[in-house]
Amino acid sequence: MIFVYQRRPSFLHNMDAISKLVWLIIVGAFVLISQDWLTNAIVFACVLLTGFWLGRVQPAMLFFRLIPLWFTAVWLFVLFSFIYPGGVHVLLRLGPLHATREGALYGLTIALRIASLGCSSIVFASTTDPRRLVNELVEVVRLPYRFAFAFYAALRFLPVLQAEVRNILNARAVRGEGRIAAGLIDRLDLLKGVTITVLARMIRRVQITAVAMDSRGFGAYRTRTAIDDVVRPPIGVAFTALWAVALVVYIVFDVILGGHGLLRAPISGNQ
Amino acid sequence: MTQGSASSSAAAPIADEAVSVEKLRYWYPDEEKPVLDGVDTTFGRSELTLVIGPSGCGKSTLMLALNGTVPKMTGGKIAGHVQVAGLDPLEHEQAEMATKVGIVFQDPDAQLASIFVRDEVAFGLQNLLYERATIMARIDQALAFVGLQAMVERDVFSLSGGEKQRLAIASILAMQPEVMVLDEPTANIDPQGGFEVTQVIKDMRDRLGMSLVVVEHEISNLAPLADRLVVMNEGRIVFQGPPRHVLQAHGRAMRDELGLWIPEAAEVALELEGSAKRIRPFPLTPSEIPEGATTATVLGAWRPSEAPKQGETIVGAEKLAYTYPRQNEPALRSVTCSIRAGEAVALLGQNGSGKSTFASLLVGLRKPTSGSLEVDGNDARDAGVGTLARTVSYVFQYPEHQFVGESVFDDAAYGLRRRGVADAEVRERVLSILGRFGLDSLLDRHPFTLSMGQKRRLSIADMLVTQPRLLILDEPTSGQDRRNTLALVELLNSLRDQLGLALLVITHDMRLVAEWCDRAIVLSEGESTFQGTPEELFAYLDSRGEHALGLRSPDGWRIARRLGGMPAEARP
Repeated sequence: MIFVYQRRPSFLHNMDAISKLVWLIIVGAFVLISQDWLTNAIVFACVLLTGFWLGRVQPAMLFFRLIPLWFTAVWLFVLFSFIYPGGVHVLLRLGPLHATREGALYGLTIALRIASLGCSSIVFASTTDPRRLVNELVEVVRLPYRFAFAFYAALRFLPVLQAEVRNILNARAVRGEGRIAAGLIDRLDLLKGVTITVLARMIRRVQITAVAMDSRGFGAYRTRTAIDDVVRPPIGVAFTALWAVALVVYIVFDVILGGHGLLRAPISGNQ
Repeated sequence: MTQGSASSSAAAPIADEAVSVEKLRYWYPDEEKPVLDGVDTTFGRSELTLVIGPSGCGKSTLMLALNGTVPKMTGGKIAGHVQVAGLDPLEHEQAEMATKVGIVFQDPDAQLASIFVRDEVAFGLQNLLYERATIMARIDQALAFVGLQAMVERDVFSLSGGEKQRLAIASILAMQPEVMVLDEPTANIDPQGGFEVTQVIKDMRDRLGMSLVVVEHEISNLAPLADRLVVMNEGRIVFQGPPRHVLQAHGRAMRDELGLWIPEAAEVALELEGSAKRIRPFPLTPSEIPEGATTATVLGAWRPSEAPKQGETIVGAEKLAYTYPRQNEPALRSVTCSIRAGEAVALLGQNGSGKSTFASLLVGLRKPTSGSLEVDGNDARDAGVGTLARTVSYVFQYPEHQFVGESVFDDAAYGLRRRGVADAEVRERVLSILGRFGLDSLLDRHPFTLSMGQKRRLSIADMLVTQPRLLILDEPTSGQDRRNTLALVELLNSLRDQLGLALLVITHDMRLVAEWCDRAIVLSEGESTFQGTPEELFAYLDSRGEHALGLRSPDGWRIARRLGGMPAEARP
């Protein structure tokens, strides 16, 4: 199921949603700015530690939710090992293809980057009550509630959409489509058919939802009564500030000043 | 059909009106024919009004006109006058109308906008800027009223169908509207959930004095509770009045000409009208029929099961179990049953009892975790969907899910073409099956543009064209009126007899089980807890008390028991 929030007591659960959202953005900035595998490995390890230790996220849940991402990461690692231009230290030969050390480290960097982004997103989603996020977006960020609620509604309906797609695929498999959708053309055809069916049914559903929401006064006024107080524990803000400081230090020393041996790991063995 | 007399079709004066509709006409955008064509009626304050009519008669459109959704959101042209709790919905904003009239829709999954139970109930009140203390108090009151107070912090994904519908009611109830409209509130839920929703509806009228308008196809449970029955056809009200009066005077026309379901007790009473044995007061429930009034067999109120079919075994399951990946609890714990050629078998149970999981194993979408399952000689542990789908066809609950063609013809031809059948034979077989289902005049239409009844028929024709040995039908009569249901049953019966086709019908419709099925299998918490004829099932349910296994014997059975047409002792 797409909806992953799990209610349990933990530091991250207690933390306010906006600080956590900023943390998520900092993690994204870290992995996008850093170009070497070691920094990315450290960030990935910190994200995992944050999730397991501070968020009580279950490792199995994290692994299973991100199975497609793991496949993508491994595939990119293998791909770049073989196609990285300018690699000189050959690790493996497969006929005309050479896997190089430089390519492998570059592929590892990309794989770690993807893993950090995926894991931090799951850590955020599984420890953040969507109500609290919407409430804080409205009360703290001053986002109009219609926009904030759109995010909430998406979380509400994504599982419904997911179940709908599963049912359509099952129904089509019974008619023989799943069995024959082996080639690219067949798969595209299946995708087109499923998309049309989903759209037709979801448009009808969304119309009912819109009527149901409007008939309960949604959007009638510019504001809406909040039924939860915004609580922002200072320790949560401090946690995010710590990550922000780490990012600034990294940018100053490693990016602006050239990173003379502070964190940057060599790609080539000769460096 | 014969139009009702002026007195029965005109709005009888009601002293205290909650809703008044005068000469209402409405055209959807780009439509020449009005879907509402001169509706005149009044719904009384603190009354329960039941609105019924054939599919497409305009009843849902009328309900949406009560809060101004029609025409404010739908567009189109409107004429005439509507007044709800003293306000004209065309002259007042929807926010203002929200505290006068609330609407509960058929599909709670589409209606519920929030992730958590508490937020759903608070939703409307927050929008209307009620104070926080008032909102919290109303949440408690509304959830307590519908019996969901213990679930206030639950997420909506974990609720059953009946619980979701009760939550939808609570979310409207919290706004304390003067009128509540419920559009087929029990259509998608199991009998236990339907019973719970019916109780809530009754309580809202009796304890809160609310004015309620309920649109339904199946009225057996609600007609005895209703103060008023309104019957629509082709955009007009043809009969209205107290349910007993309307059913006594027009029950035959409603059943035979409009193709509507009427309570089985009323059907029995109509057979006796005009004879010395006529029943007064006109009955709406089995208990209102005097014992010994006539005999069940004379009335045809009960169709005893035929001798068990002795055909070849198509399905044999032994201690079958299945656990979904990454789940701890099995969806199927132990199912042991068999299905023979030529049988119509009902698969019953509450939502979540494992019915759909069992059906998906039969067609190879999933493989058993343990136990054995043989389908037409194939071991389901080894055979995939490609192999089993040659023998077993599965008609899903929502026909659009399985449409793959751009036209009715292509859709029906799909399965044969995949099997490499020659074009000439494909054409012959497709035209033959579409002809039997009354779809041969629609060959070039896109399946998505068909009516709901036509879509349902096409989805079955799609599956039968490949001549399977077993056809699984998931809720084939859901939301269908009597005419469509009977036509479908008749057609499937003839095909069953001709082809030796076995049918497995997943349903909550106990009347369908009684009138059509040879045997019933009941699943409860993933286990097969009962197998036998419908009579044996109903006797078993009676012996276990009302709503045992979340099921309820149909009224036809109860009537037959009262009339002495069935054995008094429960058979295991």
